Amino acid sequence: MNSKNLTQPRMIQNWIIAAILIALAVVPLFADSFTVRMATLAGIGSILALSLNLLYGFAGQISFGHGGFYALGAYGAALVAQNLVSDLAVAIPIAVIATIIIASLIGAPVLRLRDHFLGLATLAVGLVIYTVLNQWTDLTGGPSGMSIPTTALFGIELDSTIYHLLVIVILAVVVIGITTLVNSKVGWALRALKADEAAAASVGINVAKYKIIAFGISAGIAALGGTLYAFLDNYIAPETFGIHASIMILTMVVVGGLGSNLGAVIGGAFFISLPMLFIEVQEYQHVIYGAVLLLFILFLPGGIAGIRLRRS
Amino acid sequence: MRTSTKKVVLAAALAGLLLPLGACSAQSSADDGTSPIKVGVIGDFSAGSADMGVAMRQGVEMAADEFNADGGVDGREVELVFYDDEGDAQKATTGAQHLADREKVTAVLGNPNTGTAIATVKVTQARGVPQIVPIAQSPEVMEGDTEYTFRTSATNPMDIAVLVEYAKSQGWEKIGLLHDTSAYGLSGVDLIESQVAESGLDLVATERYEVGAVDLTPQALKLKNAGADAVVMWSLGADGARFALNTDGMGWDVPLLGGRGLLFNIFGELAGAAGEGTYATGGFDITKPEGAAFAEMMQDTFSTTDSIDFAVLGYDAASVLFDAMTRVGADGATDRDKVRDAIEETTDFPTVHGQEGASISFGPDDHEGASESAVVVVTYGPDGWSTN
Amino acid sequence: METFIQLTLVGLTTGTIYGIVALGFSIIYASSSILNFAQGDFVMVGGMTGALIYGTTQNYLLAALGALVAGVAIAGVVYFAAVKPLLARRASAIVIVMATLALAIVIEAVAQHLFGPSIRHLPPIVSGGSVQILGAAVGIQNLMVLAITIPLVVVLWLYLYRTRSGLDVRAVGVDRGAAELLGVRTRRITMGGFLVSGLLGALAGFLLTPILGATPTMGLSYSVTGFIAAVVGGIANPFAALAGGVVVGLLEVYVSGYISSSFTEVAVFLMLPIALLLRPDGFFVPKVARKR
Repeated sequence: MNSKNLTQPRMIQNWIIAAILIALAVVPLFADSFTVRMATLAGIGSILALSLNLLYGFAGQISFGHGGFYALGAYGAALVAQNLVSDLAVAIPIAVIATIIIASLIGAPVLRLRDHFLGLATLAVGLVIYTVLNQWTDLTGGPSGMSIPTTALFGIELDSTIYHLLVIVILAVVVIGITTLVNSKVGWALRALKADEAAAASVGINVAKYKIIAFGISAGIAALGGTLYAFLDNYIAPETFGIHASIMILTMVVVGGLGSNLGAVIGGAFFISLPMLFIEVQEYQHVIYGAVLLLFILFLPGGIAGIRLRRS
Repeated sequence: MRTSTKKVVLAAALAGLLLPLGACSAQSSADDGTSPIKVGVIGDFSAGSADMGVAMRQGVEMAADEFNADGGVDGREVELVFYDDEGDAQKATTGAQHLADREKVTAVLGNPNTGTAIATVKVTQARGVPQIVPIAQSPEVMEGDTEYTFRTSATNPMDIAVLVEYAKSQGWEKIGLLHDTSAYGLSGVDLIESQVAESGLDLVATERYEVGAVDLTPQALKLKNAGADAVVMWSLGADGARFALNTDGMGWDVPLLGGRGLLFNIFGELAGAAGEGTYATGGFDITKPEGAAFAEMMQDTFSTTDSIDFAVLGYDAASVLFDAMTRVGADGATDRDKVRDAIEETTDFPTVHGQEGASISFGPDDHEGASESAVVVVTYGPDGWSTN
Repeated sequence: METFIQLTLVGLTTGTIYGIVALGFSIIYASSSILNFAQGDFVMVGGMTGALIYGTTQNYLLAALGALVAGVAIAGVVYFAAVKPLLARRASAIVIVMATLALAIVIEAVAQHLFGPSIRHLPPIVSGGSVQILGAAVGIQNLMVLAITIPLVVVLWLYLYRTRSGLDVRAVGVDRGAAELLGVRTRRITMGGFLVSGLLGALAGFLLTPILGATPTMGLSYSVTGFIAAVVGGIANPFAALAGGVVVGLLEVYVSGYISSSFTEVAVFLMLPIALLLRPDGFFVPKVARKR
């Protein structure tokens, strides 16, 4: 039993996260628009990884279907943008809250399962969400996708630099939020869950309730990532949210380092910007991607964040 | 203390990892009038619709090799830059931006899929990069601002109009529709429904299935019980073949019609005799001299003519682009606006795809270059797909 | 009634195809408690190798042998590259699952490079399309699948339930730790499970390619279908998994035929969580008291 699970995240990790966020934030000062978009995507990737890390890294519940919540956030945002007003101030709350509600309803039965059974069930959930979004052509446009007319916040249109900063700020808020949550009473309950479910139940922790809370919040954060993506490219199509998205999010958390916010931030940013690094060898990117994942699992089970932890 | 410093340094290094390729931009594009002209080619080269994307790419490569061998644009060669979008709109956006901003291509050829085409067009249009769409057939691709976007393939409405016309001419009044749940399959449904209704025919049932479904007998039964005189299969080759086998097995001798998705060798390999008589709209006619020549060239270069219907579309789109560049001349061939203008001036450019005499023409208000003559009607017979 | 017979026959034959994939998948689970995400790729490798060899040599037997060898080889790679090292350090089940996923990604990518994206074909064992049974059409190749699967399953049953080593295999599936204590060579058995599963997967691929064609990217969806079938039937019991496949096949056709083909895909996906919640050990396995 690893008592590290119940210790506080180290302060130094938070400083490093802050450093990374600042580095990301200043990208627009000296980089071209391509790089700025990649940096914004990196921020969104970090948010996605953080969402799964909360659920899996801290609360110990695996999900092979987080791409589904990413999708719900994006499509929720698109539906709001097309039918109400194309504004983040409206889209974010609606998409996120709707996803939390849906996830909680799904989570109630599904979270009774454990380990790889839970993994399979969440896999199915992700697939069902993707299938419905892809085929409900009347609502979602099917494969032709949906457009998000304008990127605005409280009526003010945002250019790509300001939007990038907004995403980084939201990322910072997510990190702070998760850290606060993890250190709160709820957080202690979640980490107790991960460590030993039976023991947690025996000390009076309502296991089912906390699992659903973790699942719901995690789904909400993933949906937040989806909404931010929708307003970034102003166009979404189903393929972006298929099973590969779920696999990608899982990879981010594993390679970054389970149970570590820093790991999630690094893993998320790293994997989304990977295509940029791979452009020269784009033909082989999948082979490299799978090989890197395997190598991490075999030789660096603690992920990138794990490297540092061991040295200290 | 040292460990913490190590960590901060490591962190800074990692943060730096995110920026390296960003900070350095591509070489300045001072045009000296002799360096190669870069053309971006973007499509799905490795995911679910890779067979279309790779075929498109092969067509473009053949066109470029031919063009360069003939001297290019007054001695300036064309250099192709590829990007794999994996059928994903997000990656297509990344790729389009990479091609436009980093590689600074003069023009873009792509995409085969609707979603990725829409995403790419958004980027190229915003950056003033002329783009020719060789394959994606949905109307949505050309909605919105398309000052810099052109399409050389026939559209879904054109294909479907031909199918519906044919059905009507054969006296088939009750039409059944079978389609898959891929982007291809779903894209045709609304159009087919509306065109069938418009032409006075009756769409009696619509059945769907997942690509790779093992047996389509349940769908066939439903269509048969609904009284369909003919079935439109908006399917890919393998699934269409299986449906042909299933209806054959059921003893239901229903005429089958389909779109370009059927036009892969696997259709014949799987269906055999059961597929004979299937009627499809395509773009390639091997009995046309240009078609035969193209088939030979493709066989020589790639040792296969599978998916030739998609390769020829890539070839023609590239040819239109190169022709426009030639008209601009070596000095201005990397000027995006000049190339755009030249593309728009394309008139009666003969294409390998399409019927005898088919050609591409654009105009200030017309960026859909293909006309009905781009649609070739083929029937499946003992010798494969051939024109009637 | 006619419709019912036709649909049922289709469901049975289609279901056997899912079942044969689920069978391989559950053999691994039974002998190691590992969820093998690469199972679908065993099927893919078998189909593609068979098609490639047949395409160049026109020799059906050679193609079949090549497919089987390729399947065993790929399974061996998965075992030695990922499973064995992780088992040795007692990594958690989830980690091993992710390792098989990583390998599935690599295998798929390499297959793309080797084989190209075109869909490949094999001729059926016996040509002729379909035959009429009870007034309904059944594909001949589908019958071939049945004809080959049934004796295979009998052999497998005999091995597992009538031989000493088969008993050992079942013991490992129930409780690996206890089996080890009793002197059972668990690693040997896990390796054997993978190799046999690779063989079966490749065989499935070889039998299915004449019906469906083979592409490098088909692996993942076979894995998913295999999971669903195995979970529904009984994830640790190969025969239950096979039966689960049949159930999935039947559900598919009944939903398509009697409700609407628009819901078939979602219905099949939903079977997974439903089965997990109602009978996590599978519907065709006697209910066992589990330690909570």
